[in-house]
Amino acid sequence: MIKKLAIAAFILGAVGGLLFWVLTEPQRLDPAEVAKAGDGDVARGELVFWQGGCAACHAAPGSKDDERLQLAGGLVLKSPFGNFHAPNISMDLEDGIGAWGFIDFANAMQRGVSPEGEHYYPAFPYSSYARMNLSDISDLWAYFKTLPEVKGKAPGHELPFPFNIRRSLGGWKFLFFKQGPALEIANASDAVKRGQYLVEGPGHCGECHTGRNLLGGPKMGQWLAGGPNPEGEGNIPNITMGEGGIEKWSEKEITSALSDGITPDFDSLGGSMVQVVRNWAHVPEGDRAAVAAYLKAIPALPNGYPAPAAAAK
Amino acid sequence: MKKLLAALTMAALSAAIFTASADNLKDREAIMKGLGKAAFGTLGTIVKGDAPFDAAVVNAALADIDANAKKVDVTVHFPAGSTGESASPKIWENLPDFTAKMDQLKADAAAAVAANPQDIDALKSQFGTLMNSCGGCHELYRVKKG
Repeated sequence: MIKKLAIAAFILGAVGGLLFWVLTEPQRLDPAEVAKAGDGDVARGELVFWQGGCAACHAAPGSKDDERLQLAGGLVLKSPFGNFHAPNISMDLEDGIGAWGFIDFANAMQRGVSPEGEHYYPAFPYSSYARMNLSDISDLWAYFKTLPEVKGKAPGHELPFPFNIRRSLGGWKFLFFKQGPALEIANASDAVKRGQYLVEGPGHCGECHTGRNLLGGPKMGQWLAGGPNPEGEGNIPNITMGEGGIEKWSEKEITSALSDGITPDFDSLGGSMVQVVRNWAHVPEGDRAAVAAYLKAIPALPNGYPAPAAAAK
Repeated sequence: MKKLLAALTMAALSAAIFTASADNLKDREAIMKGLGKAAFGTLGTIVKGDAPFDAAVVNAALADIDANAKKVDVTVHFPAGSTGESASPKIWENLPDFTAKMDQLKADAAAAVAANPQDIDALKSQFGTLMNSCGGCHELYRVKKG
């Protein structure tokens, strides 16, 4: 009897282990598809660079103007799971990603897999970048190759067990890494479609403005409704047209706030949104207007975070 | 008796401090709202082209910003731990940097008044500098709680 139990336990364990191994296996893009993207365009790639906001995390905090093209990493992203250090993604051959080919870059951006076949942590917003067109990734890579080589490795992430085991991210991806659009929008105009691409893809707005569950997966039913700030104090604002959100903002006001940081109630945007505005000031008005059109078209939701304590007002 | 007197004095003092800091928070909010209205309301509307350039209006708004900026005294308006509605605790973790940023705003506001812009391009240049001061400080030291 005990022998039979032991055998059963062994088989269960082996099957479970195998299942874990299969489920957590890093998935890459189809090389044939990647090859079809062809050579990228540097000028278009620069626009993708600003839409994607690479400099916000990968340039040293406090960088100004051209310093923001020095992508040696340095920002510390605090989270309930530990501290993430943005790595060096400059063209340096040893410390950065200068030795990568386009296929490596594409797999990092769209599958969250390193050239060595390890999972990246979703602090790197590949869940959003996976929604981008390969041609945009190719343009971005062409632009990256024009950027300076910067020496210096960023420190490693500071994560407690079990979050320090990268293989387990395969489980996270199995649960939460869904390709395809975040929302289905019926009868979307061209502007709304463009806005959807920019917000859900390169802009990766949902990474902060959509709250997360205990496992760090996005609460898709609360898309862009905001949530508690994972970095600590305060909340990430609701940017839907629901109560507490930006229902009073006109499309024109959203469009201009994305390039000058001025809110309709005569305030300036704060927190990490200051970086977003610095990036989006480079993006043409048509694209910013498309973002506004999309925000007006999506479901209006109440705040994804609790009301402030009564004493606050 | 002496002890009781001391205790009463202490209580009265702390009540006074508490009231003072509540008033200071109100003053702080009024100053910030005043800065925002002049900078983003009056000047922002002109810079965006939604209102015509009028040198008198522009310079009055700049003088207003300068006067409000001069009012800010970090020790009075930002006593340790006074997070209020939207001040980040990081202010008191990096107090010298926060104070330097406030001083920068004061310098930028005074310079903008001295520049006395007479056309939209001159205003845009001063406005850009002021905007960087606002955004640069809000980036690090303001949080959203509501």
